[in-house]
Amino acid sequence: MSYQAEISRRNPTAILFLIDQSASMGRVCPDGLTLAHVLADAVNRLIGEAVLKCSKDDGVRDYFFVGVITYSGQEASDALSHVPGDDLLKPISLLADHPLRLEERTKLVVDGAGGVIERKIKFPVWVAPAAAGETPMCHAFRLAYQTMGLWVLDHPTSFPPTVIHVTDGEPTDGDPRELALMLQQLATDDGNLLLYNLHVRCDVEAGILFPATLDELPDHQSAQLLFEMSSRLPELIVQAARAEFPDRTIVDGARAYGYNAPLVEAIKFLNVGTLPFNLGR
Amino acid sequence: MRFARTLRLTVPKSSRAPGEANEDALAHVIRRRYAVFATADGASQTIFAATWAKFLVAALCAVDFERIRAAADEQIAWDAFLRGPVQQAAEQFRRHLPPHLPWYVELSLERGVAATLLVVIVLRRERLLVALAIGDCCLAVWSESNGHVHRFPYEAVDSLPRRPWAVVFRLDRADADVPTPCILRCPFALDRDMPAGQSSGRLFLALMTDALAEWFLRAYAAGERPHEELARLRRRTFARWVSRQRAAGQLRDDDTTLLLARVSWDKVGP
Repeated sequence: MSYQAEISRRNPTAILFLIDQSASMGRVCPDGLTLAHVLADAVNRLIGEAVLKCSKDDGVRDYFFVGVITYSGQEASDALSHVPGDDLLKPISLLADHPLRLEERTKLVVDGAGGVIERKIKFPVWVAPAAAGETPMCHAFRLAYQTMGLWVLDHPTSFPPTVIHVTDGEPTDGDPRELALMLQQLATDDGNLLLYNLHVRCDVEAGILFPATLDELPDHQSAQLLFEMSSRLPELIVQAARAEFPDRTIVDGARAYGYNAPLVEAIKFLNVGTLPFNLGR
Repeated sequence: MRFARTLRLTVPKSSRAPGEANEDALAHVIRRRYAVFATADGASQTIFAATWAKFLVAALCAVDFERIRAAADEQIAWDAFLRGPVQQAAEQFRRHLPPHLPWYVELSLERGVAATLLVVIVLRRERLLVALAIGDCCLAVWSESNGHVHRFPYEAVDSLPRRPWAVVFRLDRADADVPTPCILRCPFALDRDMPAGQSSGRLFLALMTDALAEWFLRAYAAGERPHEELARLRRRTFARWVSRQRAAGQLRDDDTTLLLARVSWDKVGP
């Protein structure tokens, strides 16, 4: 049985985000934030939640290795280069101690007397939003392949690593399909790497999530490209996706793919992709 | 002679690394006029849960007798009674925290540190047993005179909650959250078939954290006599017994804690 390995300090798993930061990600969404900003917030929140889940009495336990590759202009780069360590995937304890900054944000909470009050909360930021230049997706996938190839060699018994790619556009540096398939072929004893592709928009009402066949997608080259680049979901993740999207029909054999996803769905899609963050012990 | 005797047994879950805290806590105090027995089970998904559980049981065992008697006399409600020591535990826990906390510790503590709780108070002269439970720590009470076992707050394994209530400390709130407890209030003679007016005997209490409670209730429902098995346990055999039950798939691999108490009331008049 695949995707059963316990995630522990001895047997950690890895999650790598690939984030498109090309110029189009600067599109302003109806709530006034750019796509780049909303996605950076979502990734920062997910990393922050993972840190909290790993926080125990004796410190932050390294159940996870996390990396973020951003791509724009002509290159792909390590968005966590401010965190110590040579590797692109960093143990979560290092992330805990080295956010880029701690922002103070305001949250509305119930005041216990029938009303709500504003409360300041600390919001750690590792990934800063940015949007400029072209979409060198192949560069990003090449870097991801190199990174994950080494990681699976070092962690042969771990829960398979996850790569979550978020974009709003099409590659400007070639066809990343081959690289994506190579990435999916990487494996631990517990199964193949899971590659998610999320195509986001902020001007749509509902997207196509976790399709099982090409027929479910519009006859559009970029929609089909990302479909082919996406892993088939294992049963464990199909169940998590059904729980996150109870109103959707997600069939066995669905792909780890969201097309034209509006922001709310995109964030929920990311929750599914980062399911391993909930499995650490 | 003490009117109550105890045996406290605990084994951490097998996957716990050496030096890692067992998140179950137990404590008791036996005085001339009363005894208090307490167990708490820190929620492992929350930070410093073991410490919170320890502070809770310690505060409950330090409660002033006058306050216990006031509750027994119904001058204060039992849920109000419980809030006093819990707030005291919260203050001690807050003082125990280092002055400068990393952001993730602070956020974790703001989200809450949770523990389930079971406290049993025995009043000797009043011949009263009161148990207060928040969450899925369970109590079994039986006497030596018959086989009926009183189970509290859950009588059957199916009733055990998936998400039990808990006493929660939050860093950014002055008071801890204390859900309304389940309350068992009964005279010593719990046994349905004990002759009325009988004035002597012994009660056995088993306070169990959730994994053991689950084992107990399942075995009881199957017609076994798990209370007798618990009563036979000794300090030197407990770890081996737990390992055997786990290996047989009968006991969930979780921190496993048992506080066995024997209460005698044959020397005291009404």
